[in-house]
Amino acid sequence: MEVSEEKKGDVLIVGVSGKLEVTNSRAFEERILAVIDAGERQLVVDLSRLDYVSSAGLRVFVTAAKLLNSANGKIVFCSLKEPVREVFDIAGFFSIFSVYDSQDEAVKSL
Amino acid sequence: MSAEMTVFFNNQLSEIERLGQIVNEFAERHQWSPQALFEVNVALEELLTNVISYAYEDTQDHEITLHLAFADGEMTAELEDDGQPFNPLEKAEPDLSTPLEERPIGGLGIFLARKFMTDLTYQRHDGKNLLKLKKTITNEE
Repeated sequence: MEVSEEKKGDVLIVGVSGKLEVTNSRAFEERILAVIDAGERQLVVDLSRLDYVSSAGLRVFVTAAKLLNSANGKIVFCSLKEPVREVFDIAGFFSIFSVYDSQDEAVKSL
Repeated sequence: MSAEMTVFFNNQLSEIERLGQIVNEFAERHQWSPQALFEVNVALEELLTNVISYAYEDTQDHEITLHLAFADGEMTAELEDDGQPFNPLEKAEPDLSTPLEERPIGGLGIFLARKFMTDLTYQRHDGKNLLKLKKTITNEE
């Protein structure tokens, strides 16, 4: 699992790649919480290079979204690969999160 | 080429990484589709994580056994631990109709495992917890 950050205007794009599982989800959560703590309020989570996610990763997304919601911020997702899309679907995430096909669309939505 | 294997895990979350490698090798050997591999991986990660996190009240080392088999397009997996009686399948299904504010942070792991398996059952026998997983798997095109 690797995490990247890129700033586009007021939006922070967080890319997470590889496998997001129970053994590394805490490290990912710490990264996300750190950027929110540092004042980022508009997050695009780019999943174009994420091949694997389990419930441990889903917890981080829900935690970050709740935190940003209560701080008048927003988190959106983009570029889901098929396995990740399937997990989002089963978890009912399409009804609570905005998910875009491309990073551009995601950035423009904020 | 054996279509069966037995692996032992310690009750440490770091074992999940090794679980992933083992399942990957097994899937490769039997030419599972990437989709099937992914679904088995997630289901086993969720169930093993649950055992490691909740089955033991002490801080001792425990051995958890995974038996994996594949024949005639069906995978069977048995996960056995000597922890306290614990049936993860008794957990209520998550309510997916609630808005974000009311969603619990967790509670999706067992739900994913159930969805990804054709059959998932729990038994308590001889002082052990036994989870049996079955999944119909189509080979890679």
